[in-house]
Amino acid sequence: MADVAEAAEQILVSTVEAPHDTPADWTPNVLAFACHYCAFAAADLAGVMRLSYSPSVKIIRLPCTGKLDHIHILSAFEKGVDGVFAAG
Amino acid sequence: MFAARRIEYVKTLLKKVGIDPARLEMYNLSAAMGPRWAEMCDEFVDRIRNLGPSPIWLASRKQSEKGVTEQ
Amino acid sequence: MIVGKQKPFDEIWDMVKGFKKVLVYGCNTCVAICHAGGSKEAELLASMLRMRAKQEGLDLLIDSAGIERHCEPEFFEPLDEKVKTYDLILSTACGVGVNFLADRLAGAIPVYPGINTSFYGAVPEAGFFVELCGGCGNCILHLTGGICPIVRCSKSLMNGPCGGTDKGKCEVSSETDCAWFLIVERMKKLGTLEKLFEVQPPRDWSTATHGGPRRISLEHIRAYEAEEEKKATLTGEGK
Repeated sequence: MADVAEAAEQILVSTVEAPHDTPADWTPNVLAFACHYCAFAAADLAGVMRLSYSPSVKIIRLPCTGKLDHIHILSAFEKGVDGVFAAG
Repeated sequence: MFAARRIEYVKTLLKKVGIDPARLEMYNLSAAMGPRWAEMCDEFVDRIRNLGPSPIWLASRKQSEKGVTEQ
Repeated sequence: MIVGKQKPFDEIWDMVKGFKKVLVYGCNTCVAICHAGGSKEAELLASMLRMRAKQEGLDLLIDSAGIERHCEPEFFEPLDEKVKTYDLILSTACGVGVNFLADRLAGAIPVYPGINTSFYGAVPEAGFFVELCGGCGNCILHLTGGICPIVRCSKSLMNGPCGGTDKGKCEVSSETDCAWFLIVERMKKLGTLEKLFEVQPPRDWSTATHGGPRRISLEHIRAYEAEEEKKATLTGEGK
Protein backbone atom coordinates (compact mmCIF):
# COMPACT_ATOMS: atom_id res chain seq x y z
CA MET A 1 0.00 0.00 0.00
CA ALA A 2 2.84 2.31 0.87
CA ASP A 3 4.18 1.85 -2.63
CA VAL A 4 0.88 2.88 -4.14
CA ALA A 5 0.73 6.01 -2.01
CA GLU A 6 4.30 6.84 -2.94
CA ALA A 7 3.61 6.36 -6.62
CA ALA A 8 0.54 8.57 -6.38
CA GLU A 9 2.61 11.28 -4.74
CA GLN A 10 5.20 11.07 -7.47
CA ILE A 11 2.59 11.59 -10.12
CA LEU A 12 1.45 14.77 -8.43
CA VAL A 13 4.93 16.28 -8.33
CA SER A 14 5.49 17.60 -11.81
CA THR A 15 8.68 16.61 -13.58
CA VAL A 16 7.94 18.74 -16.62
CA GLU A 17 7.34 22.09 -14.99
CA ALA A 18 9.89 24.09 -13.06
CA PRO A 19 9.25 24.14 -9.33
CA HIS A 20 7.44 27.27 -8.21
CA ASP A 21 5.65 28.77 -5.22
CA THR A 22 1.92 28.96 -5.35
CA PRO A 23 0.70 32.51 -4.72
CA ALA A 24 -1.77 32.76 -1.87
CA ASP A 25 -4.47 34.31 -4.00
CA TRP A 26 -4.40 31.57 -6.64
CA THR A 27 -7.38 29.32 -7.09
CA PRO A 28 -7.50 26.54 -9.65
CA ASN A 29 -9.08 27.45 -12.94
CA VAL A 30 -10.29 24.38 -14.72
CA LEU A 31 -12.02 24.09 -18.06
CA ALA A 32 -14.26 21.16 -18.90
CA PHE A 33 -15.25 20.27 -22.43
CA ALA A 34 -18.43 18.26 -22.15
CA CYS A 35 -20.45 16.40 -24.72
CA HIS A 36 -24.01 17.65 -24.83
CA TYR A 37 -25.50 14.17 -24.70
CA CYS A 38 -23.54 12.51 -21.95
CA ALA A 39 -21.25 14.50 -19.71
CA PHE A 40 -23.16 17.77 -19.99
CA ALA A 41 -26.34 15.89 -19.18
CA ALA A 42 -24.54 14.32 -16.24
CA ALA A 43 -23.48 17.76 -15.06
CA ASP A 44 -27.08 18.86 -15.42
CA LEU A 45 -28.16 15.90 -13.37
CA ALA A 46 -25.59 16.75 -10.71
CA GLY A 47 -27.19 20.18 -10.58
CA VAL A 48 -30.70 18.77 -10.35
CA MET A 49 -29.57 16.45 -7.59
CA ARG A 50 -28.13 19.50 -5.82
CA LEU A 51 -24.71 17.91 -5.52
CA SER A 52 -22.01 20.38 -4.72
CA TYR A 53 -18.72 20.22 -6.52
CA SER A 54 -15.75 22.48 -7.01
CA PRO A 55 -16.67 25.94 -8.33
CA SER A 56 -13.35 26.06 -10.20
CA VAL A 57 -14.74 24.00 -13.06
CA LYS A 58 -16.08 25.98 -15.99
CA ILE A 59 -17.96 23.93 -18.51
CA ILE A 60 -17.97 24.38 -22.26
CA ARG A 61 -20.66 22.42 -24.00
CA LEU A 62 -19.81 20.71 -27.25
CA PRO A 63 -22.28 18.97 -29.55
CA CYS A 64 -20.01 15.95 -29.19
CA THR A 65 -16.48 15.51 -27.86
CA GLY A 66 -15.60 14.67 -31.45
CA LYS A 67 -15.83 18.42 -32.03
CA LEU A 68 -12.92 18.97 -29.67
CA ASP A 69 -9.92 20.08 -31.69
CA HIS A 70 -6.28 20.18 -30.65
CA ILE A 71 -6.23 23.93 -30.96
CA HIS A 72 -9.15 24.39 -28.54
CA ILE A 73 -7.15 22.72 -25.80
CA LEU A 74 -3.94 24.56 -26.63
CA SER A 75 -5.74 27.93 -26.75
CA ALA A 76 -7.17 27.24 -23.30
CA PHE A 77 -3.71 26.63 -21.89
CA GLU A 78 -2.39 29.64 -23.75
CA LYS A 79 -4.94 31.80 -21.96
CA GLY A 80 -3.53 30.58 -18.65
CA VAL A 81 -6.03 27.93 -17.63
CA ASP A 82 -4.56 25.54 -15.05
CA GLY A 83 -6.20 22.35 -16.22
CA VAL A 84 -8.47 21.03 -18.93
CA PHE A 85 -10.52 17.88 -19.07
CA ALA A 86 -12.83 16.49 -21.65
CA ALA A 87 -15.79 14.38 -20.69
CA GLY A 88 -18.01 12.39 -22.93
CA MET B 1 -13.04 7.88 -29.48
CA PHE B 2 -11.53 10.72 -31.45
CA ALA B 3 -11.36 13.06 -28.47
CA ALA B 4 -9.33 10.57 -26.44
CA ARG B 5 -6.81 10.25 -29.26
CA ARG B 6 -6.56 14.01 -29.67
CA ILE B 7 -6.05 14.45 -25.97
CA GLU B 8 -3.22 11.92 -25.97
CA TYR B 9 -1.58 13.84 -28.80
CA VAL B 10 -2.03 17.25 -27.18
CA LYS B 11 -0.42 15.83 -24.04
CA THR B 12 2.76 15.29 -26.03
CA LEU B 13 2.57 18.87 -27.32
CA LEU B 14 2.07 20.26 -23.82
CA LYS B 15 5.11 18.39 -22.61
CA LYS B 16 7.18 20.06 -25.33
CA VAL B 17 6.21 23.53 -24.14
CA GLY B 18 6.86 22.70 -20.50
CA ILE B 19 3.31 22.15 -19.29
CA ASP B 20 2.62 19.02 -17.28
CA PRO B 21 0.46 16.63 -19.35
CA ALA B 22 -1.32 15.72 -16.10
CA ARG B 23 -3.18 19.02 -16.47
CA LEU B 24 -5.14 17.45 -19.30
CA GLU B 25 -7.41 14.45 -18.96
CA MET B 26 -10.19 12.58 -20.68
CA TYR B 27 -13.10 11.13 -18.73
CA ASN B 28 -15.89 8.90 -19.91
CA LEU B 29 -19.30 8.97 -18.32
CA SER B 30 -22.95 8.63 -19.21
CA ALA B 31 -25.86 11.02 -18.86
CA ALA B 32 -27.05 9.19 -15.77
CA MET B 33 -23.82 9.71 -13.87
CA GLY B 34 -24.54 12.97 -12.03
CA PRO B 35 -22.77 11.96 -8.81
CA ARG B 36 -19.79 10.70 -10.76
CA TRP B 37 -19.55 14.09 -12.48
CA ALA B 38 -19.35 15.89 -9.16
CA GLU B 39 -16.81 13.39 -7.87
CA MET B 40 -14.76 13.67 -11.04
CA CYS B 41 -14.66 17.47 -10.92
CA ASP B 42 -13.45 17.44 -7.34
CA GLU B 43 -10.90 14.80 -8.16
CA PHE B 44 -9.49 16.76 -11.08
CA VAL B 45 -9.50 20.09 -9.25
CA ASP B 46 -7.60 18.38 -6.41
CA ARG B 47 -5.03 17.20 -8.89
CA ILE B 48 -4.66 20.72 -10.32
CA ARG B 49 -4.43 22.18 -6.83
CA ASN B 50 -1.53 19.82 -6.19
CA LEU B 51 0.16 20.82 -9.42
CA GLY B 52 -0.29 24.51 -8.65
CA PRO B 53 -0.85 27.31 -11.13
CA SER B 54 0.05 26.68 -14.75
CA PRO B 55 3.41 28.03 -15.93
CA ILE B 56 1.56 30.25 -18.39
CA TRP B 57 -0.53 31.79 -15.62
CA LEU B 58 2.59 32.39 -13.54
CA ALA B 59 4.39 33.92 -16.53
CA SER B 60 1.59 36.33 -17.37
CA ARG B 61 1.32 37.23 -13.71
CA LYS B 62 5.03 37.98 -13.62
CA GLN B 63 4.71 40.06 -16.76
CA SER B 64 1.83 42.14 -15.42
CA GLU B 65 3.68 42.71 -12.14
CA LYS B 66 6.68 43.92 -14.08
CA GLY B 67 4.41 46.22 -16.06
CA VAL B 68 3.05 47.72 -12.84
CA THR B 69 6.50 48.36 -11.35
CA GLU B 70 7.72 49.91 -14.59
CA GLN B 71 4.84 52.33 -14.59
CA MET C 1 3.46 13.38 -52.61
CA ILE C 2 6.19 15.10 -50.67
CA VAL C 3 6.54 13.81 -47.14
CA GLY C 4 8.00 15.86 -44.33
CA LYS C 5 8.27 15.83 -40.58
CA GLN C 6 8.12 18.74 -38.20
CA LYS C 7 11.48 19.78 -36.82
CA PRO C 8 12.09 19.24 -33.11
CA PHE C 9 10.31 21.96 -31.16
CA ASP C 10 13.45 23.22 -29.45
CA GLU C 11 15.20 23.62 -32.79
CA ILE C 12 12.28 25.69 -34.08
CA TRP C 13 12.28 27.75 -30.92
CA ASP C 14 15.99 28.52 -31.32
CA MET C 15 15.31 29.75 -34.87
CA VAL C 16 12.40 31.94 -33.85
CA LYS C 17 13.31 33.44 -30.49
CA GLY C 18 15.45 36.28 -31.78
CA PHE C 19 12.61 37.84 -33.80
CA LYS C 20 9.70 40.08 -32.86
CA LYS C 21 6.93 39.31 -35.30
CA VAL C 22 6.68 35.82 -36.72
CA LEU C 23 4.25 34.23 -39.15
CA VAL C 24 3.93 30.46 -39.14
CA TYR C 25 2.96 29.85 -42.73
CA GLY C 26 1.36 26.51 -43.57
CA CYS C 27 0.86 24.78 -46.90
CA ASN C 28 -2.27 22.71 -47.36
CA THR C 29 -1.04 20.32 -50.02
CA CYS C 30 1.42 17.48 -49.44
CA VAL C 31 2.70 18.44 -46.01
CA ALA C 32 -0.84 18.81 -44.69
CA ILE C 33 -1.54 15.21 -45.67
CA CYS C 34 1.43 14.01 -43.66
CA HIS C 35 0.34 16.06 -40.61
CA ALA C 36 3.51 18.13 -40.68
CA GLY C 37 2.79 21.58 -42.04
CA GLY C 38 -0.79 22.32 -43.01
CA SER C 39 -2.80 25.28 -41.69
CA LYS C 40 -3.78 23.19 -38.71
CA GLU C 41 -0.23 22.23 -37.81
CA ALA C 42 0.87 25.83 -38.35
CA GLU C 43 -1.85 26.97 -35.93
CA LEU C 44 -0.78 24.44 -33.29
CA LEU C 45 2.87 25.31 -33.73
CA ALA C 46 2.13 29.03 -33.40
CA SER C 47 0.18 28.38 -30.21
CA MET C 48 3.02 26.32 -28.76
CA LEU C 49 5.57 28.98 -29.66
CA ARG C 50 3.43 31.67 -28.03
CA MET C 51 3.26 29.62 -24.83
CA ARG C 52 7.01 29.14 -24.87
CA ALA C 53 7.57 32.85 -25.47
CA LYS C 54 5.30 33.74 -22.60
CA GLN C 55 7.14 31.43 -20.23
CA GLU C 56 10.49 32.86 -21.26
CA GLY C 57 9.14 36.37 -20.79
CA LEU C 58 9.78 37.34 -24.42
CA ASP C 59 7.58 39.85 -26.18
CA LEU C 60 6.97 37.90 -29.37
CA LEU C 61 4.03 38.20 -31.71
CA ILE C 62 3.35 34.89 -33.42
CA ASP C 63 0.53 34.40 -35.91
CA SER C 64 -0.34 31.58 -38.21
CA ALA C 65 -1.76 31.40 -41.71
CA GLY C 66 -2.07 28.86 -44.45
CA ILE C 67 -2.52 28.74 -48.19
CA GLU C 68 -3.27 25.86 -50.50
CA ARG C 69 0.12 25.71 -52.16
CA HIS C 70 3.55 27.15 -51.66
CA CYS C 71 4.81 26.07 -55.08
CA GLU C 72 2.75 28.29 -57.41
CA PRO C 73 2.80 32.09 -57.35
CA GLU C 74 -0.98 32.62 -57.63
CA PHE C 75 -1.66 31.12 -54.24
CA PHE C 76 0.61 33.59 -52.45
CA GLU C 77 -1.09 36.68 -53.80
CA PRO C 78 -4.02 37.06 -51.36
CA LEU C 79 -1.68 37.08 -48.37
CA ASP C 80 1.25 38.99 -49.87
CA GLU C 81 0.54 42.25 -48.04
CA LYS C 82 0.02 40.51 -44.72
CA VAL C 83 3.22 38.49 -45.08
CA LYS C 84 5.25 41.66 -45.60
CA THR C 85 4.31 42.96 -42.15
CA TYR C 86 6.30 40.22 -40.35
CA ASP C 87 10.00 40.04 -39.69
CA LEU C 88 10.26 36.27 -39.93
CA ILE C 89 8.30 33.72 -41.91
CA LEU C 90 8.48 30.25 -40.41
CA SER C 91 7.33 28.17 -43.34
CA THR C 92 5.95 24.72 -42.64
CA ALA C 93 5.84 23.98 -46.36
CA CYS C 94 8.29 21.56 -47.93
CA GLY C 95 11.74 22.71 -49.00
CA VAL C 96 10.33 23.72 -52.38
CA GLY C 97 7.91 26.08 -50.66
CA VAL C 98 10.58 27.57 -48.43
CA ASN C 99 12.84 28.25 -51.43
CA PHE C 100 10.03 29.60 -53.54
CA LEU C 101 8.72 31.96 -50.88
CA ALA C 102 12.23 33.12 -50.02
CA ASP C 103 12.81 33.92 -53.72
CA ARG C 104 9.50 35.73 -53.84
CA LEU C 105 10.39 37.87 -50.84
CA ALA C 106 13.84 38.43 -52.33
CA GLY C 107 15.70 39.06 -49.12
CA ALA C 108 13.15 41.46 -47.62
CA ILE C 109 12.16 38.98 -44.91
CA PRO C 110 13.93 35.76 -43.90
CA VAL C 111 12.05 32.49 -44.49
CA TYR C 112 12.97 29.63 -42.15
CA PRO C 113 11.96 25.98 -42.47
CA GLY C 114 9.65 24.51 -39.83
CA ILE C 115 9.80 20.98 -41.17
CA ASN C 116 12.37 18.59 -42.53
CA THR C 117 11.40 17.63 -46.06
CA SER C 118 12.03 13.92 -46.16
CA PHE C 119 11.08 12.16 -49.40
CA TYR C 120 8.56 11.43 -52.14
CA GLY C 121 6.26 8.89 -50.65
CA ALA C 122 2.88 7.24 -50.40
CA VAL C 123 0.53 6.61 -47.49
CA PRO C 124 -0.12 2.85 -47.25
CA GLU C 125 -2.10 3.43 -44.06
CA ALA C 126 -3.07 6.50 -42.05
CA GLY C 127 -0.06 7.93 -40.26
CA PHE C 128 2.45 5.76 -42.11
CA PHE C 129 4.56 7.03 -45.01
CA VAL C 130 6.99 5.15 -47.22
CA GLU C 131 9.50 6.36 -49.75
CA LEU C 132 8.76 4.97 -53.20
CA CYS C 133 10.45 7.31 -55.70
CA GLY C 134 13.78 9.06 -55.76
CA GLY C 135 12.93 11.58 -58.45
CA CYS C 136 16.02 10.56 -60.44
CA GLY C 137 14.69 11.92 -63.74
CA ASN C 138 15.23 8.72 -65.72
CA CYS C 139 12.55 6.19 -64.87
CA ILE C 140 13.22 2.46 -65.19
CA LEU C 141 10.11 1.15 -63.47
CA HIS C 142 9.03 -0.61 -66.67
CA LEU C 143 12.15 -2.76 -66.42
CA THR C 144 11.81 -3.63 -62.75
CA GLY C 145 8.17 -4.62 -62.33
CA GLY C 146 7.11 -1.25 -60.94
CA ILE C 147 9.49 -1.40 -57.98
CA CYS C 148 12.21 1.22 -57.88
CA PRO C 149 15.64 -0.21 -57.04
CA ILE C 150 17.14 3.25 -56.81
CA VAL C 151 15.23 4.22 -53.72
CA ARG C 152 13.74 0.99 -52.38
CA CYS C 153 17.08 -0.83 -52.40
CA SER C 154 19.24 0.50 -49.57
CA LYS C 155 22.25 0.48 -51.86
CA SER C 156 20.49 1.64 -55.04
CA LEU C 157 21.76 -1.43 -56.81
CA MET C 158 20.89 -1.60 -60.48
CA ASN C 159 21.86 -5.18 -61.38
CA GLY C 160 20.24 -7.43 -58.79
CA PRO C 161 20.42 -8.14 -55.07
CA CYS C 162 23.60 -7.90 -53.07
CA GLY C 163 24.90 -10.73 -50.90
CA GLY C 164 23.10 -9.28 -47.90
CA THR C 165 19.60 -10.18 -49.03
CA ASP C 166 18.08 -12.39 -46.35
CA LYS C 167 14.80 -14.23 -46.96
CA GLY C 168 13.33 -11.21 -48.67
CA LYS C 169 14.67 -8.69 -46.13
CA CYS C 170 17.47 -6.17 -46.38
CA GLU C 171 20.69 -6.52 -44.42
CA VAL C 172 20.58 -2.84 -43.51
CA SER C 173 17.38 -3.30 -41.54
CA SER C 174 15.22 -6.37 -41.07
CA GLU C 175 12.18 -4.08 -41.35
CA THR C 176 13.07 -3.20 -44.92
CA ASP C 177 12.08 -5.51 -47.75
CA CYS C 178 14.81 -6.39 -50.20
CA ALA C 179 13.80 -4.45 -53.30
CA TRP C 180 15.43 -6.95 -55.61
CA PHE C 181 13.61 -9.82 -53.96
CA LEU C 182 10.35 -7.92 -54.56
CA ILE C 183 11.33 -7.17 -58.15
CA VAL C 184 12.07 -10.82 -58.97
CA GLU C 185 8.88 -12.03 -57.30
CA ARG C 186 6.80 -9.39 -59.04
CA MET C 187 8.33 -10.06 -62.45
CA LYS C 188 7.75 -13.80 -62.04
CA LYS C 189 4.08 -13.03 -61.50
CA LEU C 190 4.02 -10.71 -64.47
CA GLY C 191 5.78 -13.38 -66.53
CA THR C 192 8.46 -10.94 -67.58
CA LEU C 193 11.37 -12.32 -65.63
CA GLU C 194 13.46 -12.83 -68.76
CA LYS C 195 13.47 -9.05 -69.23
CA LEU C 196 15.96 -8.85 -66.39
CA PHE C 197 18.49 -10.69 -68.52
CA GLU C 198 18.52 -7.98 -71.16
CA VAL C 199 21.70 -5.97 -70.93
CA GLN C 200 21.02 -2.32 -70.25
CA PRO C 201 23.34 0.49 -71.30
CA PRO C 202 25.14 2.37 -68.52
CA ARG C 203 22.70 4.60 -66.72
CA ASP C 204 22.62 8.32 -67.44
CA TRP C 205 22.73 9.98 -64.02
CA SER C 206 22.87 13.50 -65.44
CA THR C 207 19.08 13.67 -65.07
CA ALA C 208 19.40 13.20 -61.30
CA THR C 209 20.71 15.96 -59.04
CA HIS C 210 24.25 15.18 -60.16
CA GLY C 211 23.67 17.37 -63.20
CA GLY C 212 22.81 20.48 -61.18
CA PRO C 213 19.34 21.98 -60.58
CA ARG C 214 16.80 20.52 -62.98
CA ARG C 215 14.19 22.30 -65.05
CA ILE C 216 11.33 21.22 -67.23
CA SER C 217 10.08 23.69 -69.79
CA LEU C 218 6.82 23.03 -71.63
CA GLU C 219 7.27 25.14 -74.75
CA HIS C 220 3.68 24.85 -76.02
CA ILE C 221 2.34 26.25 -72.75
CA ARG C 222 4.98 28.93 -72.42
CA ALA C 223 4.50 30.04 -76.01
CA TYR C 224 0.77 30.35 -75.44
CA GLU C 225 1.29 32.34 -72.25
CA ALA C 226 3.75 34.66 -74.00
CA GLU C 227 1.23 35.19 -76.82
CA GLU C 228 -1.52 36.06 -74.35
CA GLU C 229 0.74 38.52 -72.59
CA LYS C 230 1.66 40.15 -75.88
CA LYS C 231 -2.00 40.52 -76.80
CA ALA C 232 -2.77 42.03 -73.42
CA THR C 233 -0.04 44.67 -73.76
CA LEU C 234 -1.13 45.47 -77.32
CA THR C 235 -4.77 46.06 -76.36
CA GLY C 236 -3.49 47.98 -73.36
CA GLU C 237 -1.56 50.29 -75.69
CA GLY C 238 -4.59 50.60 -78.02
CA LYS C 239 -6.55 52.12 -75.22
